[in-house]
Amino acid sequence: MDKILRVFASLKLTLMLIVATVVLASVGTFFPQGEQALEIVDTYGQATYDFLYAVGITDTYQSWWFLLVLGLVFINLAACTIDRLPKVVRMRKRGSEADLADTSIPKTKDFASLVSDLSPGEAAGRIRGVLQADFARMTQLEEGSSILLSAEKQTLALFGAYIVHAGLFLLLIAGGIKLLFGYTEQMIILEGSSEVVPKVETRFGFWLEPWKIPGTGLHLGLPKFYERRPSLENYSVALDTFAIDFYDNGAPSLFRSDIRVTRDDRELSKGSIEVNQPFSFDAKNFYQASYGYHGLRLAEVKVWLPDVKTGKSEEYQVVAPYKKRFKMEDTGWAMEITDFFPEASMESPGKLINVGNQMNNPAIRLAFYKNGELKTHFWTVYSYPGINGSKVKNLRAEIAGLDPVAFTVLQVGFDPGIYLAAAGSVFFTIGVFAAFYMYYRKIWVQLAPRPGGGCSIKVAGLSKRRRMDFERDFPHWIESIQTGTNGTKG
Amino acid sequence: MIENNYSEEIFILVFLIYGASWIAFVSWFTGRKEKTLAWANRFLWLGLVIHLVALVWRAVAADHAPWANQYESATFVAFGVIVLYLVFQKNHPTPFLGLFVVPAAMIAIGAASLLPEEYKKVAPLMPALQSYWLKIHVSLMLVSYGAFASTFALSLLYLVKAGAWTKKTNLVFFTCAGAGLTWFFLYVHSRTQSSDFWGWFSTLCSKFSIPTGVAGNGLALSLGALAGAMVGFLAGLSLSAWVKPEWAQRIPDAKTLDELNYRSVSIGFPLLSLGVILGAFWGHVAWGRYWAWDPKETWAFISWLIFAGFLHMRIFAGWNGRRLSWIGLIGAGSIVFTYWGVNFLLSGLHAYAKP
Repeated sequence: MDKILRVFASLKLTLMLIVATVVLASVGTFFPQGEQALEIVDTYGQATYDFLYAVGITDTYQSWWFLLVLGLVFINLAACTIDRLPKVVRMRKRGSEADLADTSIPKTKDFASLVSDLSPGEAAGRIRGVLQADFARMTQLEEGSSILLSAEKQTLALFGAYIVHAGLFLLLIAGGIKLLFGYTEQMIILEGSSEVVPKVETRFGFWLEPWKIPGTGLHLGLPKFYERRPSLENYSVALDTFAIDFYDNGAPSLFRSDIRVTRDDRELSKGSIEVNQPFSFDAKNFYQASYGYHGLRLAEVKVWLPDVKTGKSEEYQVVAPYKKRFKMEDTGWAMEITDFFPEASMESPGKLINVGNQMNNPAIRLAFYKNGELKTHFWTVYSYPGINGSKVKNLRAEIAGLDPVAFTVLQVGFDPGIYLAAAGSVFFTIGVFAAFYMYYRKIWVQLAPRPGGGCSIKVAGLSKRRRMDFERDFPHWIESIQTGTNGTKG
Repeated sequence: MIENNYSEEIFILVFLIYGASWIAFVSWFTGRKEKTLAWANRFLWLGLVIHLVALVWRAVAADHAPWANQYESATFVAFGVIVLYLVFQKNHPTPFLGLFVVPAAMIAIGAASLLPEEYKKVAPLMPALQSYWLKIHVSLMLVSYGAFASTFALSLLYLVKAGAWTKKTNLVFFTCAGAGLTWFFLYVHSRTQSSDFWGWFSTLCSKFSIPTGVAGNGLALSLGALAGAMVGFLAGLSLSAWVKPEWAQRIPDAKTLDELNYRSVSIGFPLLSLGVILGAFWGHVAWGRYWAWDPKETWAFISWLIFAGFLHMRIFAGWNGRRLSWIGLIGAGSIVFTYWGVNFLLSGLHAYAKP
């Protein structure tokens, strides 16, 4: 048992794990991860992607090898604490009330011996006086005529590293809980409609899952202990409006989704979601992730129609509904907006395609009818009003304004480990600051009577990390003790 | 928001004053006159005060904390570098560090000034950055980067003092640095269509029939890097020839350097830790996850791990000297990559460099 502990608590393992984590974590930053990894297929081909997928590089941070290293880090942290913490506690206890029987002095790296003509009791009093500035409270133990004085300062610093490790421990557990039970799902909701909230369920159990051995027709039953299944909540989120504001320079200044949570048409809650201002319901958090446009409500179109008598073009301003044939009074013409692209692009001459869902270059497709008969059907693009594919002379159209239907992309997050993670980060922070910005020092002074009168004074000091400060302070204390007790080095 | 605010000109002035300070540091280091050191410090303080004014003015002009894009954050890192140097001096008088740390601040301001115009202009905050966390998380991260400038200098000096940094190492370092920096500089400019510099460079290339495109061309970039490598090589060569062994007297003994190196990490590491933790809090609020393995996060974590390794090896394994100095250099390199490289070379959620 001791042997195993020593292996797992070894610094060599720590170093190896740090190097492994550094290397493996960096791998994931150079290869696209998750869904984005599909880009690899386009650039480097299917075979490359398949290989990277098989070894787990396309999902580095959830691959078995990365989790294995993190698991070992977890064990290493635990083993180190079990191995070292008791030693630190024991070291500290020496000379305190908890350890009354022992007035011997620990042999530390910083050690000095003095002799004085004063009796142990008198010398002890003087020492307490001269060290008053550095150690306000000194513990005094007496055993026969021997005295052991001891004091320490900023004890938290001594345990700083362990508090950091406890924090990391909690963070790793929180990460594990998140991996097992947490999820982030996306939901896309059109303005004026609602969507059922997705979730992911975890099921524990034991079953065998067939796995085909590559290159053979044989199947192997692989044991499975848990599985995650996409599922749905029994409530929906409805998007009333999606708002977007802009700065003077055209950059967006605000994205906001006004939502309602409903169950069977009953409103359970309502609120607004902004970036940096999520909305919470049923322990799930809803975040503003993205937005876009899909479909139109209305379009304001400038139309030039050929006059029945003169044939000359005459301008009309029309507000038209989407996908609804619309009679234009007194002109004999009817118009319908048959299609809408928020982000149009010319794929090949004459062929317009939609490349995105932001209103970067909107286009609408218009159909014109006369006496119920389709006369022309063409696209008009917002940024290029001059280009018209109209087949009727003197008939053209331009977009004057659009009222598109927005959709919002919300991220639904559930993480039951979040409070543990928060606790871990608090431990971590306190520990780091205790370890580095505090300065632990301890001093022991042992006074024993000398056969010929007077006493011998032994001083031991202990400090972790701040060696340079301690190497300056310790001689200073020795000097104070020496002058305070009229002592000499012995 | 004030668009024409001259803050860029003020930062150039700051750059020049730091330059004057550095010249005084060099003259102190290579000569034996203590008076020049006083001048170095005077210039440094003057530069710092104007730097602070420039940052405040930038914040007023932009109407947000002056570290919201690549240009602003780089000038703030420079500020952090100088402030932490001065804080460090208070407890550990080590003026020789100024010789290395002041140019680090100058490089940060210089690199910021050489960015394409789009990266520099004053812009309002995008919704994702509209949070008080911007003030806390980003400033902490940037200040911690500043602290590691001293780690870099101390690690390097230790290696010089211990004789591990030979003339050959020096040449390799300068050649690689020259090539890398030039390549990176050209690469960033090649991605910006409006960049004057890239326009000038591609005209030069076309004179020699070297093709360049808007997205940058591998050949043009490689040739640029080669030219940079040559300049770096010559710089390394002349530095090796110029440096005299007796200057090293200004540098304390290796043991002190080692201890100071540990101190500098002890200052930077907690700041980095807290910066990362608070970033996770912000991530939880803004993105719904405190840790997303985004490239910036991952590299901050990698840098953190490298310095955690540094500390463990020193405290528990009793490592010191050369091995630790190399880890210090690798860590400082990782910080530079986390801060600068990730923004341009890797994509992710932290893509705020560009307006």
